[in-house]
Amino acid sequence: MNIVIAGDGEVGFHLAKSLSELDHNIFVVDPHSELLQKLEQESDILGIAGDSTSFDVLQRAEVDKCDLLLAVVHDENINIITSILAKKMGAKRTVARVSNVEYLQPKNKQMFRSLGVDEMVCPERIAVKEIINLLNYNIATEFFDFSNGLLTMYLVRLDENASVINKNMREIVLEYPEIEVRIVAILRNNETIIPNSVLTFQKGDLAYIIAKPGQLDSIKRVIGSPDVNIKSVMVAGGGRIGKFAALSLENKMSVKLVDENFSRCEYLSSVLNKTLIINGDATDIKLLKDEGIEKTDAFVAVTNSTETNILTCLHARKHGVKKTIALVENTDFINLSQAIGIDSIINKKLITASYIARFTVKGDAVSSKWLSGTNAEVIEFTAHEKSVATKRAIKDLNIPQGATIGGIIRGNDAILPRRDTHIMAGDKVVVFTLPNVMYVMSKLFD
Amino acid sequence: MHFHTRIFNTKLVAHLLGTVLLGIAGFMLLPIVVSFSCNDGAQRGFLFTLGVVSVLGVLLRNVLGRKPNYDFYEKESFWLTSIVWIVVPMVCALPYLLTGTFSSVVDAMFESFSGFTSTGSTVVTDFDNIPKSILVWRSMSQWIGGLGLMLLTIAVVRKLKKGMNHLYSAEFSGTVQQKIHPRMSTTVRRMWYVYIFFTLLLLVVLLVLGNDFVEALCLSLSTISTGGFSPREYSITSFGQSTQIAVAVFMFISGINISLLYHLLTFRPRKLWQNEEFRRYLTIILVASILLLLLLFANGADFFQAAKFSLFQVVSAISTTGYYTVMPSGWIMIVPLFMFMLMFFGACSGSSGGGIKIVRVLILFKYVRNQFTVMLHPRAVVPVKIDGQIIQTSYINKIFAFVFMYFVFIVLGAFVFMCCGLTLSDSLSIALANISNIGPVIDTIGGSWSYATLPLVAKLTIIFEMLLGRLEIFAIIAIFSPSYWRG
Repeated sequence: MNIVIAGDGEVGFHLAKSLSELDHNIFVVDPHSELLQKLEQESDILGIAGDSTSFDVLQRAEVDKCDLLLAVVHDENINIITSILAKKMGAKRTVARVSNVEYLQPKNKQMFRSLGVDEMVCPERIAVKEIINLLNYNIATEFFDFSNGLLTMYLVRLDENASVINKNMREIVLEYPEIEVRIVAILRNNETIIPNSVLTFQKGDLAYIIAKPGQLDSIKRVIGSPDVNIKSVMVAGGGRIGKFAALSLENKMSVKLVDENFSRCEYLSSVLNKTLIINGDATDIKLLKDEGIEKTDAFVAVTNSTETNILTCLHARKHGVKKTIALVENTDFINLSQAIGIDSIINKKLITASYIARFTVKGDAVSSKWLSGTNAEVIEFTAHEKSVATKRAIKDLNIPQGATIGGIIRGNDAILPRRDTHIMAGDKVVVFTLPNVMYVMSKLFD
Repeated sequence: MHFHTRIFNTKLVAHLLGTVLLGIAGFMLLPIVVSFSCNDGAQRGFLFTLGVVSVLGVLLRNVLGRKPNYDFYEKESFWLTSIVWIVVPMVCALPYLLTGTFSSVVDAMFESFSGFTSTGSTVVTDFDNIPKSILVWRSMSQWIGGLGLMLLTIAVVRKLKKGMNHLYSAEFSGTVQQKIHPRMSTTVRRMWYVYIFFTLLLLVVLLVLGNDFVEALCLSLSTISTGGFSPREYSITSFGQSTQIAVAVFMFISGINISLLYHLLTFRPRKLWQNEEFRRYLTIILVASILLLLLLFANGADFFQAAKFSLFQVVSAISTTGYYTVMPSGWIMIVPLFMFMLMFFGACSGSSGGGIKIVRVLILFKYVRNQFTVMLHPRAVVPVKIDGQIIQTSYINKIFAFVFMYFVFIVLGAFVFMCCGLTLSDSLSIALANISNIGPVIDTIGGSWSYATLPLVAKLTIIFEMLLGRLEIFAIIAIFSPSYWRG
């Protein structure tokens, strides 16, 4: 697939890096040639220094031959103009990153589409969605759906109460024969491990669990983690994310929002009806205590400063908040913050990149998502009649170490595979894989 | 993962080295076929080498380097580049020894390194009794080395995703990287297609002109790679007029950036003309030929003969091929000096030619010119531009460092040669001709230099100079620098 990425910021950088490993032909357009050089050193792309709203630059990026244009510059106006120009010059599909949520309303979307902007993504909006998901599925620290929700994956931290500690997958299946869940990957000491049937789980492992939706109760039984029903949440930071999060949550639970800027607070109080707006510094412990942090179920730190977010979450955790979510913009901090005990990390750029990546997958691999904190990837392959995968049972497929089949979608049914399951033509297969064996796995579905 | 200190990826280096060796084994089939069809007595030597190379290749690729992790960074790329460029020519020197072409190991090495670095300096003296297949093998090694062993790696190893830029730039330098496709592997494969296309074209032309197949093959392999090995003694002086003209034309083509040639072949000749380096390449050739012609004419030479000679010689020097045609006596004094000046430029960046490369010289000239502007207008902002794109100062600094090292190694080399008893001018010529991968030197006494008679130390120095020139110095001295090892 020919892809043009306009913008080599963090979203663009992450997209270019990951997509180039999936055998796409990628042009990256950015005015900063030194950033491009860095990217060219790290991945196999062709950088074009220049402004993406220039005809000449777009021509040099062969936009007329591109299947997908991703405009992910920080400035939404540039993205929209780039998309319009590219579409008129022959790009098959265009995606623009925007920050104005007004644009995302269906009737406005239609207008943009007629101009040439096929899809729009708003990182703040995606971040808010993620926060809400995390609060609803509070035992999981991350989760997402596959194949229109037929399968769900959860990321769960195994604490000492979890009944799977010191057991391997085979023992778990024997012990809970009725439970349909699979642990497909674990993150231990910053290392992603794809477990085989004899690997034992340890305390502190972050486990990626695949299950059918509605199996949350079964997962709770396996994990043994107490259910926290979230009734109150405190949001630190009243920026765009904080505002939308409060807006979506205030009708379901009690929400308190802390922001330093007084005029911002005034504005927020005009938009938010039920949320209690508090003008103050979120790093001020006394203030948080006064506002009853000890009795709050969840703490969401979404200020502009990553450091503040991490620190306030740690405070909240110390004061007994069961669920903490921090907005971490610096990708290098992600592993670190998980290591020091923050439940969930939201990284706007990573989630935007993985959201956008879904536009790139056509044909065989239908959706894929990069998981924050790991280097594993989830790919959905479609099995064909001629695919090697359909010829033998799973146990005879010689699946390499570092990859596993997490689930199979057959028609409208989800199947959690066993060793003797046979993949059939037309099945969608969810594969969990480390990059080094991805190629081998994709061969199975050729 | 993120917090691990990365350890050196030995496995991948072994895997890639093994793959390159297997590729070389594949190329070796050509001289073997020639050997069997001519029955020249070199069959056993080649088959043995083929065995050694294949076993070594399989051992490195599938045993030592089995299932490598494809993480690849600068450190590995330096290592791989140096190690491949040392190991491959060494192993490929085996046929010269086994067939009895050379009795001395150093001579065999010399010929092999001169081949792979597409230099063209030769220690062969007895061209009449040399097996045909060895002649093909010499030229073949130039052909492989002309585009480069790393480019061979990138083209062959499909799983390599990261770090290809380092490998590419170890052999091919340019200001703006002229990738002709977003993916490096595709870019490199297209470069190989262009390279193969012109080689076959020249082969056909030479055959049509009535040359013997083996000689035509050798000449085309050595011309397109700007190598300059000839299957006959005294370079190509004894070949026919038309053959010499064909060789001159293709030497000219080989000195051009391959990505530009790709645009030419895909019917976009305008891109060729838009390229500043190419325009300068043409200008230098024209101006230099006319100057040489005038000089020769003023010294009483026949106009047409002198014209043909100047054009050929200028193209040969600037493309760093190093072929020469017959030189009437009396012209002698001027020519070497003149060639000496041309050798500094070298061919276009991104071509199979060597030397400092025109674009670098161009940048330095522009930079120096800008310094004058700054002297007059202290606050002027005058960046160096090539093809309308600003060249960053950090890159210009790199060029300065490169050119400086280039001269340092020329002087050091010349010093060694003088210690071996050569004259100053010969020493300088030899050092320059070998570091810029030209090869044969027209000496001040007339005729060609025979490298065969040089002392051992001089030969080893030349091998080192050739390698330095081919890998543009830094890749090869990096592994000798202490800071590289400190980490």
